[in-house]
Amino acid sequence: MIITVADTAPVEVPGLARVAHIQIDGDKAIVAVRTADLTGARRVVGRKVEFMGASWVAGAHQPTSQVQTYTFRRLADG
Amino acid sequence: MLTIFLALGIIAAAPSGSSDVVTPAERVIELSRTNGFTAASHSVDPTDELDFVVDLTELLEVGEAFSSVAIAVTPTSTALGFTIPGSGEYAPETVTNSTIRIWPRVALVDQADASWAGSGATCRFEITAETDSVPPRTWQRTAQITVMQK
Repeated sequence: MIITVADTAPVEVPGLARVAHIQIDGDKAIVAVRTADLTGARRVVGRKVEFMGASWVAGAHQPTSQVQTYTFRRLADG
Repeated sequence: MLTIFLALGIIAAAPSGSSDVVTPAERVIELSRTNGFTAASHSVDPTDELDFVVDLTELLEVGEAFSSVAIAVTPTSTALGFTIPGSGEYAPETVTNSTIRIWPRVALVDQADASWAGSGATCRFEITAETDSVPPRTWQRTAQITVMQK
């Protein structure tokens, strides 16, 4: 049995944070950012953002005191 | 003589102690066919370094075995500092043909974080297991461990 653990290295999401943790599942990306690391949360929702070599738009936002979680949808041209 | 030296070399290179570890039942997470989430009954302190066993037995059909298991900590839990080391001394290992041992932990810089105060935070990781059937079956379930200051 081969056991692997996914790479959890953070990446930059322009307009949101320089340190974000991302999990891509098909055309959906779950992006989690520590609240203290947010750089532009209010501007990112509903706007086109490019990361991981594709274009995305932020939809649902789930805030907690420590971590903000965003669900992005991949754009057709991305 | 050469055969004897080779055998001794293999014995000497074997990891010491790993096969002796017995994980108590309170830290065994039994994944279910029907439940999407399975929570460990044992919660941990952010400074604990404890092993958990993930039991995938219920997911197997008769005569089937797992060919691969992929573990992915959710982004939200990763942002809190929760990790499962993928290599080194605390890397996951096979216990039986349907159970694996993992060593979840909280990164040193995040161990004093406010997230772990009070009732703490639930940290989740996805287990994606593929069987050796033809074509292979794939199961994806989520396990959960509560981390709180104790």
